[in-house]
Amino acid sequence: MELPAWACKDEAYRPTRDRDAFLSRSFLRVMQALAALRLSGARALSWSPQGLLALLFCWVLLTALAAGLPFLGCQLALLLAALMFCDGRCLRRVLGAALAAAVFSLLLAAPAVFWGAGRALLLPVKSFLTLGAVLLVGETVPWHALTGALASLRVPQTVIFLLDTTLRAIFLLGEEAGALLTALKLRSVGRNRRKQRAAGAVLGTLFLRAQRLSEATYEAMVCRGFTGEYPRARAAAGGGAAGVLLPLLAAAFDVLLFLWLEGALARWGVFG
Amino acid sequence: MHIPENYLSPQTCAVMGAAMLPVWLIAVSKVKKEIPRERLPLLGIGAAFSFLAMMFNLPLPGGTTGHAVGGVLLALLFGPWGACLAVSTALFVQALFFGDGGILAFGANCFNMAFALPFAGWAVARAVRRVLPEHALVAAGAGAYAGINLAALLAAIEFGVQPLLFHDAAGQALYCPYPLSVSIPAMMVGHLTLFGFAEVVFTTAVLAYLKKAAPELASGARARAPRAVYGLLALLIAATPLGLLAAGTAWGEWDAEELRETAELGAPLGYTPAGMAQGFELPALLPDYAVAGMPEALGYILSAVIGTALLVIFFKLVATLRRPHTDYGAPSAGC
Repeated sequence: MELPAWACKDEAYRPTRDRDAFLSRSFLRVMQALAALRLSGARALSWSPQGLLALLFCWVLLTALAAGLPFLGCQLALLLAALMFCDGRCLRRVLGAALAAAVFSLLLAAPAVFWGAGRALLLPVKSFLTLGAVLLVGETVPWHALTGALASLRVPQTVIFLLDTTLRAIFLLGEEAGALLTALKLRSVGRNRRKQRAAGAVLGTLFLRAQRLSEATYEAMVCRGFTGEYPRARAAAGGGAAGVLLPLLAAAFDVLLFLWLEGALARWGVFG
Repeated sequence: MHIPENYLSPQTCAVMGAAMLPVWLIAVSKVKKEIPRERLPLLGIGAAFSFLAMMFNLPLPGGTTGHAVGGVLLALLFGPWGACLAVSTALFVQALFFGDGGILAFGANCFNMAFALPFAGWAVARAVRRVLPEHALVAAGAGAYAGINLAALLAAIEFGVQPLLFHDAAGQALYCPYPLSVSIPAMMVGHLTLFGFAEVVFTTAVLAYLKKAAPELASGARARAPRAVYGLLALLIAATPLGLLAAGTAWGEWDAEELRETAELGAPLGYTPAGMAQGFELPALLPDYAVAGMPEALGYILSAVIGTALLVIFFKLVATLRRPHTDYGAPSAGC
């Protein structure tokens, strides 16, 4: 049998190179977010999440209230000592974000410092300390344990419900988005002149799927007897009594340190 | 032994810095090759030990103080190149954050304490080990003693050549005012006796403890620091305020006012060398390991915690920059 002429021709199709970095980049970003969610709380700590949240709250409040360098120096030493036990990757994530925030607030505070308000220089230190601590807690406690701990700290049910479903939806939709971007990347051959349309279609499809997901979730909840009452999520049991006591002791120590170094104890005539 | 800012002429600093540059480059490539990625955080902990050892100031009758360095300990645990990098980093943190040792004099300080000290100590320890194979601790002690004394001698020579090379028309020194005939005896008396002994005790005590508490660490088989090591670090940090008991300033580390009053030549010096009066000065974050408005001891502990944590964090971050290397040819550990 003889092949038709068109089938005998050499294939010389070379697709023109396309600048589709936006695709790869958004794909990577989605996957990174998913990996971060999956890895969160991979480092098991024997402290209970409730205690850790209370400690974090205390830490952020005291750092914001502090007016002098001695107390902030102590906070810095404590934070660095805690970071010392993290592994390299966790350190990079926490320090990268916290330092970026510090540099940003330094830029914001720069005019004030220029006009003579030297105390504005405390701002970058404070943002480094608070963001570093928040990220560190995020790295050590898994998301579900955090929402559980929030519930046992009497945060309204609606907030907990929203937070819980948001985190779950981010996870499910992130995987969907990953699949959609993979499909688009595989099917894109040659130059795509209508990139907005491609990106728009991915987002639109994602939105439709999200809507379908929410309806399905709600129906499933009703089928299982949902009455509008979101049961208090069970906080992960962590370390027993010591797991609760240790962070509370740490918080109490921090408060004492604050009162002493900021001069409140001396004013009350207790010490110093 | 930390040479402060402006005690050495900029020319001397440049020469010492240029001498250290190839050493650092070789050290980085050697460490890359010889120390596996998993052991780098341990090197950070080693650097933290050295940092803490240098915070324990010991007093000597006559008003001067000194300290151990711990470089030989690191050389025995990680090899001399690893020790060179670790001590250099510890010195850098001290110079930048705590104002201990000058920024310009960083090259000279590294040459004495991060290059000469670990290499000489390591070589002596190996030589002694060959003669007395059963006495590892004796060899380590001998190495430590030789290492710190060589470093002190080098520092004394660097101090002592300044008045010979750099003085004004009136014969007044521009930088360090004391010649070799003063600096060498002054530095060596302390280091041949108390500070050399302190280095020997520090090196052998930590080595003996590690051999007992974490033998696989001392032999280089283990990559992660066991709890015992962190415990020892915490103990050292808590004990650092002991270093404050030593009143006085180490020889050659006086500030400008103190220097006017020193009487190393028989009579008070009476002038501030010109090069020092108009010298380079970089304000440190926590000068002299103290925080304004805080008790001295607490400031000292705080500085110890911050320095230790910075060193460990730095080496952990460096370890993440290196790609993991898997040797598929190696026999598996489980078999």
